[in-house]
Amino acid sequence: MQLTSPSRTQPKYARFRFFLVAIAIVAAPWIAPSPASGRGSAAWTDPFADEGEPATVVKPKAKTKTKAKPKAKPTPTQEEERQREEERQREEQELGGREREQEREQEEAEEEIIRLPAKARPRPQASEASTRGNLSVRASTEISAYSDTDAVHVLSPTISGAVADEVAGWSIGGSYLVDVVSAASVDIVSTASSHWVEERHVGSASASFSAGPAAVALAGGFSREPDYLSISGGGVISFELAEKNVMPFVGGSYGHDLVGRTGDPINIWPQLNNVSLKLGVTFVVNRSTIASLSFDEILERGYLAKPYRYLPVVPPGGGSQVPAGASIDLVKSLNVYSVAENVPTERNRSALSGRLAYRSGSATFRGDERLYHDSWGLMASTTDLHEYIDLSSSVLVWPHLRAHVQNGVVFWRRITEQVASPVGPAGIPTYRAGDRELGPLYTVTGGLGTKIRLNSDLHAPWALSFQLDGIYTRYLDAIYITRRLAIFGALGLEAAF
Amino acid sequence: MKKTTTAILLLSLLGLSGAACTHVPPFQRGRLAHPTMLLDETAGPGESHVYAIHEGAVGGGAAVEGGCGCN
Repeated sequence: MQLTSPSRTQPKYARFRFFLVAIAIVAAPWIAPSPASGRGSAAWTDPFADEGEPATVVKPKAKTKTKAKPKAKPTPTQEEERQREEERQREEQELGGREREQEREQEEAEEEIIRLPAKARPRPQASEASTRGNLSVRASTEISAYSDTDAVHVLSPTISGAVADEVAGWSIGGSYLVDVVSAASVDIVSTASSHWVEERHVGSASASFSAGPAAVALAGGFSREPDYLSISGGGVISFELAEKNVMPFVGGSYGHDLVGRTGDPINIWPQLNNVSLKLGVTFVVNRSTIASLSFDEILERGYLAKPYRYLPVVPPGGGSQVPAGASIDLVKSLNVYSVAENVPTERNRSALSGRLAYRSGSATFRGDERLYHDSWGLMASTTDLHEYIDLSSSVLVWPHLRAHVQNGVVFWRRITEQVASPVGPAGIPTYRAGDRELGPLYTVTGGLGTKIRLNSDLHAPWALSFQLDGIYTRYLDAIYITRRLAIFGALGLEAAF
Repeated sequence: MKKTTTAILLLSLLGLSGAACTHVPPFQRGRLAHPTMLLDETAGPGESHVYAIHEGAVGGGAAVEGGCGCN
């Protein structure tokens, strides 16, 4: 025996279906795609716009004029169809047939953009992507040259390469650099030393990987020359917070150096150890600006002087007779004897740095500022500015300006002067430095650079770069020279496979 | 030590203020994704070494630094 007869249940479900259809008709205008729905803003930027072009902004249509078209319309009843027809006729009477037609075409075009944004940019086909894989290989080479009015010339070829998997979030890389230095500077000439040529070999390796919102970058390197050996290693861990709007990072490194003289056995070379700590945050300021702030603390312990540097010593009161930029002959006429440079064996160095990049139109402004202070009393400010301009889709140029100004360390003297003693022979200051970069100075650098893309393959671009800078340094309180002019040039080639 | 602590506090404050900047969703980062917007080192290896020799200050760049090469 059936508890429920079919004749009673069918009318009940029929009423339920009619109820669902009615809800669907009423809710259709809100369910249909709308430019403002789900984006939480009055306008949204087309994410598929080309990088070089201003982003396409699709404004939401006014609600009174919006006629959203549901994709799957339920079958309307005759009464609803009649009401729609009457409404359409009234609107056409108000707006006029031609205007209404234009508006309808515009609405359809806008909805096409919203529904099918992928049409704005052709995407690689699946077969193309699979043949490329996720691995990207990049290689680059650079040859740079430096020459200054103090008879120092340097030629530095560099090669580097990296393999990365951006999808998996890892990369490894390495580089190798050779410096060939030819020097006959005034410091060498004044000590009757001969002109010398030296090579420096620098190698480095790096690796990075991501794990969730954290990314780790590790790096290590060495530097080797006949009288100097340096090995170092370190890492930085960064975090992506607030949808990558805030990225704090913390890192550190350790370096172990041996500082010697050419010909001496390496086991007697004095040591220099340094530990550096880095703390900072990168944050998105707005749609066109990104900035970074960081603090570095570098602790150096060990032999910090230059083993070849000998300073002329003048009698008590003789320092006043030696002006800035005094000639070699004048200094020699007052020189009693020479003494090795001696500086403290500890130095704590702090730097607060800010970086900012702002893009407007087809140009990017990049500004870097560093404020520096150390336990030797040296304070400095370094400002570095670039303006990157896209001349075309394949040519980038940038003017460059850099300014650095600093005072001297607390024990800086233009020339080492004997200190008279009432009870014995005249002494000399415990700490004395002859390195001009420890004295007061300012430096201005200006130049121009360009990068030219050689092919049109965005996935495997080849690019040629060239840079030329002029560097002017003014020494405010040093003997022998008061200014130095230098020129630096670099030619590079980058390739991706 | 006091100076270091002050600098870290200042940095933390600035970092927190940075968090108060406009929240930019991923689909509005077309300009930020431009290669020139990377806040990496602008100077190559040769240029960095020139600055290291010419200037008495360090820091603000890569976390790892090599030998001096200037003596």
